[in-house]
Amino acid sequence: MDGGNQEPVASAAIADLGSLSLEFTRLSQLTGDARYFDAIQRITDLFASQQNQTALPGMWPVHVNAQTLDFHSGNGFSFGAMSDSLYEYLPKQYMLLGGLRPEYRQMYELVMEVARKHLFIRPMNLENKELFLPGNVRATGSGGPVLDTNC
Amino acid sequence: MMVSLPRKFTKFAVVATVFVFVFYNLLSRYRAARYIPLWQQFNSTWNNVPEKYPPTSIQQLPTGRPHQLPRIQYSFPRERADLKDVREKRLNAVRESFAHAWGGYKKHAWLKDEVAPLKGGHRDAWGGWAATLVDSLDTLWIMGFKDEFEQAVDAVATIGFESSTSRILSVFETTIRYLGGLLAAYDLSGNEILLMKAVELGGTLYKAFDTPNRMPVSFWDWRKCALGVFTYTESTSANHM
Repeated sequence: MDGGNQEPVASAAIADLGSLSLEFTRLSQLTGDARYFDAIQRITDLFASQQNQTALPGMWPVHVNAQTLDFHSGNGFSFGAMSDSLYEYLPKQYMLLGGLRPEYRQMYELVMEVARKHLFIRPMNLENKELFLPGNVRATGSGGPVLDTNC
Repeated sequence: MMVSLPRKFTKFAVVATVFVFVFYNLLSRYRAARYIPLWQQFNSTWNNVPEKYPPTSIQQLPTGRPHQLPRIQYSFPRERADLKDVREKRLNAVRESFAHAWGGYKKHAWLKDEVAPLKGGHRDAWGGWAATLVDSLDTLWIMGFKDEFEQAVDAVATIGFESSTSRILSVFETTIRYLGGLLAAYDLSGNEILLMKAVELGGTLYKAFDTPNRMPVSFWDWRKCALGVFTYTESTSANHM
């Protein structure tokens, strides 16, 4: 009970950071108190400014450093747990703000462009019908991204 | 047979009636203008904890007229009567499934976070603020369980969101389940208690952002910054994170 300093973590799941925006924004909208919106917009600004600097430009690695604010180093990219809701919240936040903050839309469109190219495989089943499966991507920035579907 | 009243009295009666009507109308408007919503009357105890790293500026919500965004929901054609029957049967089956689950929560874990499905009984794994209850508020409303909803809101009113029986709070889980749950239910129902509780919780959560770079602590030991302002009693059924 020392009132000691508290610090963000060096390895933060991007879902943990990126899935606060809707709730905090709505609270600001209902109360007129902008502090909550401000709190999450700082996080968005960081994601936005580093979106093209990652090893899979357009997406962010599953864990980022909330202490040093390095949101681009890392090799694992995913639509799965710890990661998914950051991406989910982008278009929803765009809508919640009535389209008045275009960066949310732009960020999301960039994500989907990359995901379409690298995050899905389309194997055939026994009836020769195409399946659509997401996987996790490992990208080191040299020699293209490698899709791992845990098949 | 009607008694004819003296003219003076009639005049007086008319004037008095008009006067009472105008006075009452003005009084109602005055009262309405003076009404302070529940959430505005709330003063967070966290305001007594000094902010260590106050932000130097606060970004404001964007202003301007919201854009007309494209409609997402499919435009269904007019429903055939026989298909409507099938749909309603299925809808009721889902509703009954929920009622069964809700009944189990009420019986075994009321005001606790979750039912322990194998042992029976309950668990507090999410801060001990009745996670299942808060998370289900919007579902109760949407499914038309209005009495249950009112009962649940009365229970929410008793929850203290300024402190927790859990030592560590996940800022992410707390935000999506509790803050999201309260705000969604408020947006659906307009029940002011829910907005007040959201403000109460918001005041607590905001403290997790009080770091040198204003990034939130992910797994937040909330007592470390509480400066003895809150007392802490550990829950007997807590599962610590």
